[in-house]
Amino acid sequence: MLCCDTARQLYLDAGVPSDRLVLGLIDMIAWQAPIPGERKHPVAPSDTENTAIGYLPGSGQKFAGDRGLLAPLTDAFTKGGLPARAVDDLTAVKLGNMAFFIGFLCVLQTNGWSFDQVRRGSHLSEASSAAWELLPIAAAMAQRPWIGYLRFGVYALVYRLMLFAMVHFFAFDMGTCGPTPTKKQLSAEMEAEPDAGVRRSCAAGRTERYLQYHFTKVSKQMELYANTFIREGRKRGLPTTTFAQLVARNPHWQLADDAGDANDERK
Amino acid sequence: MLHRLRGGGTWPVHFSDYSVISSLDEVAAGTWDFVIVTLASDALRADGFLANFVRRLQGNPVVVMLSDGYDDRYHPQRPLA
Repeated sequence: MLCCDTARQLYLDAGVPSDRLVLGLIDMIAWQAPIPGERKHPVAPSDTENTAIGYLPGSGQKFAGDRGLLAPLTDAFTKGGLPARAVDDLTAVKLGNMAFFIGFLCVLQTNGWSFDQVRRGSHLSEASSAAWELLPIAAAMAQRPWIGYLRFGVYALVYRLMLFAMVHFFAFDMGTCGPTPTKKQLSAEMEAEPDAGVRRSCAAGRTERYLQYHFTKVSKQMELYANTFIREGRKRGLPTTTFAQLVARNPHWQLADDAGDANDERK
Repeated sequence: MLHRLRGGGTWPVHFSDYSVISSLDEVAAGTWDFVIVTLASDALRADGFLANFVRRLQGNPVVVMLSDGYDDRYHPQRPLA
């Protein structure tokens, strides 16, 4: 896979034998519980060392490479309670996911990780326009044309539904919070704990805080991915204008020097 | 303590069969079956770290890379915030 060549070469140059190198995809979320803003959590706040992990039913850690090498690894994870399996085309999955999400994450970061803010105006439309640009680029990078066709199913409404789902079904502390609290319940809690600090008076605050926590931590990596998409798109003559504009407006990311027209957006 | 979230409930797991090492010399002192590199792409590029790390791995382990898809030229060449 083209997109892996650079990273793979990095490992090979470092001395990892090619027949001992495999690829993995993290398909779970984890955090040091409780994190600031977590309304409820599965652990006592007095505990100092806690890690909460969560994954969707049917999902699991995915690995690609020699099946014989991977079997002991996937077996160990699965026996330990974290489902894992070997797959054939992990690079395509990773690139497709990133092409779909990175524009959305970019507008979220630009708007202070506020779901309310990105729902207003044209932010979600811009995110979907970015995905329309990036999915064909991902398809070209992975040499899997079918990834490009996924864009026909990506519209602002998809991201809007995703926001709704994250708040009501996929909150990062799902399974521990119970039903989404009512405004009355939240008001009572806020009244009982007026010094709640970063705690938000809406259910979305849970997921917003997690996304902010995680993607601030890996912001530089996301910036690298963003510039890779722009560079690969430009190299192939594919449009990147909308996504480059989103990146240029994100004060936390920096466009690469040769991002061309996109740099003009920041001026 | 790990807290596994599943089926609407919490499954605490007391995980104690582990050790924490924090230096390359300690890496060299052990033998490894698998090494999962969980560094972010930019951190992975820290000067010489990966080569120094790999050089100390004993036991011919399988190395799992999680980061991919970026180009060296786009490394921001600045310290992590």
